[in-house]
Amino acid sequence: MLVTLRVALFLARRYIVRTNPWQTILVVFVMMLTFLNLVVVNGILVGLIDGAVFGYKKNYAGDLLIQKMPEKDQIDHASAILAALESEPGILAYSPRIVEAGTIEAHFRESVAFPDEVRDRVGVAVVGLDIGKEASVTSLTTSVVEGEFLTETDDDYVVIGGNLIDRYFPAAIGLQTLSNVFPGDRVRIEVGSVAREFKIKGIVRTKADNADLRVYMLASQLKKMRNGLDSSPLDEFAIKIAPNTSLETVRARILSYGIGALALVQTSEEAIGEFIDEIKDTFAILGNIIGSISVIVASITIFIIIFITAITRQKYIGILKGIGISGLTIEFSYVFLSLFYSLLGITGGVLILYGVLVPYFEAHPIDFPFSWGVLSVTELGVVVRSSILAITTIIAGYIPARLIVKRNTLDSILGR
Amino acid sequence: MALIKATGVKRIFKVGSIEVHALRGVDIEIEQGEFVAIIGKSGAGKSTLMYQLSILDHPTEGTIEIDGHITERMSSAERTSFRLNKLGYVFQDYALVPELTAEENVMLPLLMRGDGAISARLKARAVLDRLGLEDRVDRRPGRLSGGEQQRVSIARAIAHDPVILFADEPTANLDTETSAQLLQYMQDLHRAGQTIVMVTHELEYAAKAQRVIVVEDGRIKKAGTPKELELHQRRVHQS
Repeated sequence: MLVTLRVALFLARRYIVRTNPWQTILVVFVMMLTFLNLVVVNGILVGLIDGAVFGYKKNYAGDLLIQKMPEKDQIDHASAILAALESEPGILAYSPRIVEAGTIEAHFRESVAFPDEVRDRVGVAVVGLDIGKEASVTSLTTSVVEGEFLTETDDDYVVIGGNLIDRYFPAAIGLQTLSNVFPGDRVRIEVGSVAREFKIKGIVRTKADNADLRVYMLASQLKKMRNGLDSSPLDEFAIKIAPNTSLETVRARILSYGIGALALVQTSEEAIGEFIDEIKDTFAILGNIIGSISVIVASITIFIIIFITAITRQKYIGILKGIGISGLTIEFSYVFLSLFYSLLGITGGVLILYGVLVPYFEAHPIDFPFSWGVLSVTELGVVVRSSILAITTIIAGYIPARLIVKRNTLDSILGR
Repeated sequence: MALIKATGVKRIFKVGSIEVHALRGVDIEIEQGEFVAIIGKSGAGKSTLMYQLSILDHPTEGTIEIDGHITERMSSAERTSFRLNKLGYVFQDYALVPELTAEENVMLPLLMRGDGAISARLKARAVLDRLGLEDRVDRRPGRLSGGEQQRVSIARAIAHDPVILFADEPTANLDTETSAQLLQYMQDLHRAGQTIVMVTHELEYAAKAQRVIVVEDGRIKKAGTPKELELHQRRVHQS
């Protein structure tokens, strides 16, 4: 068998080196495109969801998110949670938030003048923040697309999530939005029975729905609007854990303080919901289906090329058999040829993938409505897809070679 | 015991519903060290006979025994292996692999027999040197003359010291001078003890053989030394 493989390699190597280089370039190019199609289409589809998950974590939830129990209006004994978070060494930073249901109304003075007009008002979650703490956990404060974010002294200002404004989130999508609202405009915010006017300081756009459908103000101002019913009302904590720290370990320690009975403690992946995983799986299947088509096209290409190569060399195949070169050796030489094409194509594809596409998509994510789409590529995924392509190519190269090699030796020599 | 013993060999080709009897029952014995020329007109069956004797083809009927091996009992792989180890071939149109250099073409059967690359290269170079091709070893067939290609073809056929060398019209595409040189090489090989079976339609070249078999209409019409068949007196080409 060793001799068979050695002679097959000898034949394949000479063929590759001495055949028309344009043929090699063409086949390798096709294989490279196939590899990229296989990896990139899947990577973009999965990356679309990964981008959403990443945005959710980066701009809203942090690594861990503590929220009030669904049946509660706020977190009970928030002070106990604060104490636990302060004492946990695995936590780098946390941001306590007050969240209240309310409404925001733009152009409210015009609605007084024209009472018959439909009021420019939408229901929102109004969030009170500690600006410094929020900045240490999420990128919300740096996701401003118009105006500026709040500072610790902006008592009379709010920042609005982009999805509440029609130019960022057209009403056609289904949600009610505010129209013609810009930084500097005045809006009226109502929480419970308390209404107050604020000036818009900025508009944030994070591509995380939860963050982009909120109105942000200083926590001190929202507390005032809640009429001081609770001295420290808190509804949410976004937590960032220290580098090289196990998320599960930190969560386990937080839960060991008995916080699980007071609030929901979830990782950002859990908090965003299982449906995201299901969408991701669906997109991955879709990507694989599209990729499979390209693998079939590549297989057919290799089949045709090897078949034409073998049939035009039928006489030489006959002569090789005639002088005693075994059929298996000749078949393996074509398998090596196919393997060479696919490996070179895959190598070219990997170089383009990691040298060009991945850095490009990192620097210029695709602007999807609900996420910044990244190219989601894992080493394992690349290895699996490369293997699929290589194996398919080998089979596609072997079959035509076998068809030609098994013909009668003399018929091949005489070209009958 | 004869090196090749063919008994009652028939070869029938089917062309649609028509049966073409290329060989109609041939009996031949070829001894070790003989130089046999098979001659005949085009379509007489001389090449078909050589293909049967060299186990490139299967006879429809009859048996062929080579060096004590009954060839009908061999599987396809065994026949290939037998050809590799026992036989050498020189084809009419040289049949060199175009992507390989002269040296690599000669190395190929040696590598297949299990020789290492260095050993195969040394043996190939020695045979090519013997045939006067020492300055052509790195050339591919496209850059060799017809005569040079045929010498490379001979080198490939004899590099592994085959028991029998088969040559199918080896001078067909060569000019007179090159053909004469080629025949001289073959006679030298014969004198060194090589068994040779050559198909030709050139009486002049057949006359260089030790024994001549005349095939006509799928049968052996006559056989004997060139002198017995008076080939040396005939200059007319049978074609």
